[in-house]
Amino acid sequence: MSKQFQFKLVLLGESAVGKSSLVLRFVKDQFDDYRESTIGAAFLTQTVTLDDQTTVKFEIWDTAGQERYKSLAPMYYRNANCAVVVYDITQSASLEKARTWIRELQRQADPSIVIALCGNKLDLAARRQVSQEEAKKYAEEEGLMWTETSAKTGEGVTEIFTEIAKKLPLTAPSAARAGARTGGPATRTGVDLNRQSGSAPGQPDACNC
Amino acid sequence: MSSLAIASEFIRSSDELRAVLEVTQIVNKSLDSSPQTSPETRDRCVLLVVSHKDDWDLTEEGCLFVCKHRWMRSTSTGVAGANAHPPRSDELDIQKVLPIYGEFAVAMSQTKREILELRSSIVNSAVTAPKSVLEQPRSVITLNITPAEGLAHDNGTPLTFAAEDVEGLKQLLSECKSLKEASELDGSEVVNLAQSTTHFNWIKPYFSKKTTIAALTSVPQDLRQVNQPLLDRLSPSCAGHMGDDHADVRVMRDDWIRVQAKEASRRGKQSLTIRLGTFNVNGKMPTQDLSSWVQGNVQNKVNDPSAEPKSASTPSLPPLAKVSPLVLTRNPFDWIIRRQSSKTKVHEVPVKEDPLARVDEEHPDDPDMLVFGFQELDLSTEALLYSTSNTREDAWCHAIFASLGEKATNYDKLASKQLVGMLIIVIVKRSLKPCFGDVKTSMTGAGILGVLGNKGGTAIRVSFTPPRPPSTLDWTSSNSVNQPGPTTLTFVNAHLAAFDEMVDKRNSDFHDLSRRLTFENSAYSNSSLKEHSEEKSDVVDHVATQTIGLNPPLNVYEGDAVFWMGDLNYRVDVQDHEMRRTLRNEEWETRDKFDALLCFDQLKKAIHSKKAFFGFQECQISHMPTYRFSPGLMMDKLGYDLKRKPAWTDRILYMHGSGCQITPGSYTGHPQITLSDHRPVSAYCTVQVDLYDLDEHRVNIVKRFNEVSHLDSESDKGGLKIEETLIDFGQIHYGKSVERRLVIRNIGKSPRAFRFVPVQLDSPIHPEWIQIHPMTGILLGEETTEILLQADVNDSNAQHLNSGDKDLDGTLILHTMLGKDHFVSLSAEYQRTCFANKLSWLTRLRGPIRSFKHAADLLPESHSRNAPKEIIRLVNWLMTNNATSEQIFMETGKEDVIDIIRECLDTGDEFPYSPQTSDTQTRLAFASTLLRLLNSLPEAVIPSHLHPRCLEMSNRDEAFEVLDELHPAAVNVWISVTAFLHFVSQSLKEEQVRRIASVLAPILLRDDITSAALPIPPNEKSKFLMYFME
Repeated sequence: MSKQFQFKLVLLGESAVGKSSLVLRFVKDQFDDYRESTIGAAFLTQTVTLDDQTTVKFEIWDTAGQERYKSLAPMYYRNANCAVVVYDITQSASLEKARTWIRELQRQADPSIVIALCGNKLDLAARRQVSQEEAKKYAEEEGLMWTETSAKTGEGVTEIFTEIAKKLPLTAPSAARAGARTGGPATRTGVDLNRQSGSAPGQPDACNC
Repeated sequence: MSSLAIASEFIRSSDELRAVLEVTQIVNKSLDSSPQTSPETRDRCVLLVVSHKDDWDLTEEGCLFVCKHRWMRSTSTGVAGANAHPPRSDELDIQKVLPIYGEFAVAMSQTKREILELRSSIVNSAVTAPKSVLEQPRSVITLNITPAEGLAHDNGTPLTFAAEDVEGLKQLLSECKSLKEASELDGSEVVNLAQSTTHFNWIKPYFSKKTTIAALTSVPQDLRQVNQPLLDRLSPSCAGHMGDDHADVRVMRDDWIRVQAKEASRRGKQSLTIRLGTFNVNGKMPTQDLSSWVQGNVQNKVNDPSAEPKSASTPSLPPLAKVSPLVLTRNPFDWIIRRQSSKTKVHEVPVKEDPLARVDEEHPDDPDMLVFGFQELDLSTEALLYSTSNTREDAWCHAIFASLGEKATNYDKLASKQLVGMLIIVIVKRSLKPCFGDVKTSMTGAGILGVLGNKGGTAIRVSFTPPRPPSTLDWTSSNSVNQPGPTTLTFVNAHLAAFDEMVDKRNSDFHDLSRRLTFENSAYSNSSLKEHSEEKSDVVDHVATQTIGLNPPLNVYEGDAVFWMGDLNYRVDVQDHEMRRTLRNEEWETRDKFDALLCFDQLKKAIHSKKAFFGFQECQISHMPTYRFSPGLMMDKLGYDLKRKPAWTDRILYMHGSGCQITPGSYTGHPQITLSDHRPVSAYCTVQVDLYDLDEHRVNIVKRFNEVSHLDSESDKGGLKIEETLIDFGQIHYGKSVERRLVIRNIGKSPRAFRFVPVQLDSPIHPEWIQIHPMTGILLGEETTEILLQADVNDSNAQHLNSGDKDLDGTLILHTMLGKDHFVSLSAEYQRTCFANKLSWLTRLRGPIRSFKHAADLLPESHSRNAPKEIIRLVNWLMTNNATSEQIFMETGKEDVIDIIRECLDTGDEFPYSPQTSDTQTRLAFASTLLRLLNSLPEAVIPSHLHPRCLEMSNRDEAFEVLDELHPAAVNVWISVTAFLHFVSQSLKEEQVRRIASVLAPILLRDDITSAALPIPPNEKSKFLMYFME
């Protein structure tokens, strides 16, 4: 019998690093050379299937990268189970911005949040400003997942979302079964299936550590 | 398109299509007593096995859908029969849904039925059928499907279909089998699909379309919802936290369809006039002439059709404007400003609207309907216990007709309803009687034990269909209405709990009656639903009926307008002696006096606080309280019983929807009818009824529905686009609103709904200095709309803005339903104003307010100025100026000059007007600015808690004592303003001085509308001010 889980994922990072392109590649396997800047936050869903017939449904909030809207970001990353912080490997300043985001998440977001650092625009590796070593070292220090992707070619995109899915605490559905139909999110540890709820799900479950 | 492709489109993204099978339905022979054989008795269907996995606990449920292809409708209005075979559309209609659990079973038998002329199979093209043992050319397999609840429900016969596609059938059988095994439900359990919230909830959206069209055409929307802003009816939502978008979209969609369809169908309006009356008769019999109550003063009207019925002995007032239930919130002194400004403003020529055609053109001056409510018709115990006799009804009915005099022959009783002492009678013009139909009555006791009829209500609901317009009217043939649609009017007559302190009981009686006064809903049974369904189906729409629970009774609000009258028994929360003294005060203008008292009326308060009667409107009350009169010695000078505080217990309220405007004509008591301890009350009003064609309206609803039927699908193609997301308002000033437009374009082909959401659930949607119209909307594919953003600084928000940062900003979040959040950045540069600040704050400013940066700039309180510099500047200019004072404070100066003066006060610049000028206009402008500045203060110069003390002062020296209680800044303002008034008064006649005092006193001694105390009479305020002026 297959099992399905649902998680809230948020994309953060400086403007024009390719957050929306990553999502577009992941959700629809498409790429636009000329994408307009996101002024707002887009909501999308995509499901990944893991080896053991487990499926993970991501509810993705793709947020605006512009500084002007920074104060609204917490509204979108609150209650998030995972975050993908994106930088552009051809812009060293974008990694600095990513560090800021990661510090903010570590301070403000749910303590159990899974954070992935993602260097995008791998297709432009010739103009690379951020070395793999530098980013990887930082990620290791902070205990983050790290990878490089190209939304344009699709390289590494599905992989990073799949890796995140594997990292998330997957509670056996039968454990969350009792009274589930009428129960609130409290009965479903680690699975944020109730996006209407203002309460914080995703509390780490002892049996899943 | 193949059935598979069509079915895939049809299934919601949350559900899975497991099997598709084309079949032919065979109507059970045992029911088939008609001589029909083939082909009408069978029809082609598509069976779908659909499963849904619950998001919550991942359980799976399955259903078998019995669907038919929708046939393209031919352009003629005729219903396409099954025989005609018009082209098939790519849409399916659900005929029946069979949940897979319990006794659900599919039995199969193979029969050769060559007589069946099956059309060539275009089944499941995706499957290349391998040879099968079962598959034999031209052979047909019969399916018998037993529903989950067993056969008891469906007349004991299973549904029978014939199928040819063996592979499809095999798949269907195996999917049904596995879904039944997966079902968690016990075999013996029967799920009530209409009520279950745990099982098979997911199938409900499939019915929403069909049932909604039926509901939209036949059930009027609840008026309480119609009058509530759409945004308030949606689920809470904020940035990153979606509400129940699916449900919200449906609410928005239905609202949109109703409004759009009605607008598209409306061919005009006609006016229907109604005279309403309520009378608590205290068990008395009709022993007096009731004509003033029943028909008003008709003599006046014959000579002057515009004159409203007036009764000679009640204070008569000019025709009444429509009054909102929120009348309590208005600034009671707005009228001063209005009165002054209206004189100098260019008089707009009132747009003369063509009078609406009357529904009855023969006797346009006589009301078309007469509706009377009585209470305490019979006070005997017998009546309470065995209210069977209607002798009293006959007596009162007779008295009403007698009061109509010679006109009585023009009227007929249409309906009446009595419950013990409560009687409601609807009388209509005889000539219009055929226009009234669908008469329903209801009654509910709310008295002793909550059921007995000593209190409670009776109600009548009627529908009025305008007569077909005569050819003399300007309805051209292309504009004619073949079958006019009805307007539904509901009349409630209620008697609520008595006594001053029982206000909570009255409120709860109201809610009880709102809930329990219901009418049988015949709309569905003879409804359009069946007549107009596209095909008459042999398959009973059983599940759909269950799912939505058809034929719920109608409440009193489910119509186009509701009138609620009766002895509502609400009292006035003012001391007994104050009430009587105020009523007797002849120096206080009647209307203002009543307004002041009505601020304490329990009914007005209940409406304002939304505790009861929320959304109802009432005409301006310009008559004396109608309760309680005493025939004996125990009465005051006005005739009121000394043991009961006078009150407006007898009321007539109304509520209407958007398409049924009610214009009040008169609202008055009838003190000359003295037979009871109450006085009767009457109201006259005009109801604008829509002229529309019933069929056309149905067509419009279906058309609009189809335009937005996909609104709740999560399609991500296209979407909304905001043209400019940075909105700069530039400089914004007090009293001058700045408008900007937000252009929203739907770049996709599907319709989209949007709403503004706040950043957090408990935060406001927009900054306080912005207004947004509208806050929600629907855009069809490729449609563009503009949203008005209005920056407005006024007395309510200026004080706060003045002390904050002058660079204003904010972000609006426009949420696309089931989609993206768009951000709109707002910015403005606020220009501070000296208006609308506390005097004690103004005196702490170091310089002009525009040079103020932040709170640290303020002088310490110990070093504050004696008086605000701005007020002193105005008074000094006026004192120095020698122009004539004839019209000062009586006329408003020119607006542009006032603006310049205010700007100079704010910036500290010199006035560009020399005090040496003899131009009276400039002087008037300075005086107006002073008046407005004083009126904008958050707290009056003499605050309301000191007003009672002002009353006690009997000379100038005593009056000065009151000033000891004031803030020093207020004392200095009072002294300098009154010094100027004193100076002006010396050159004026006493009459003029008195008039100036009557204008300034209500401003300098402004009432606090939130105060729990009754305001002091205006003449007392003037008297107090005069001590300083003379």
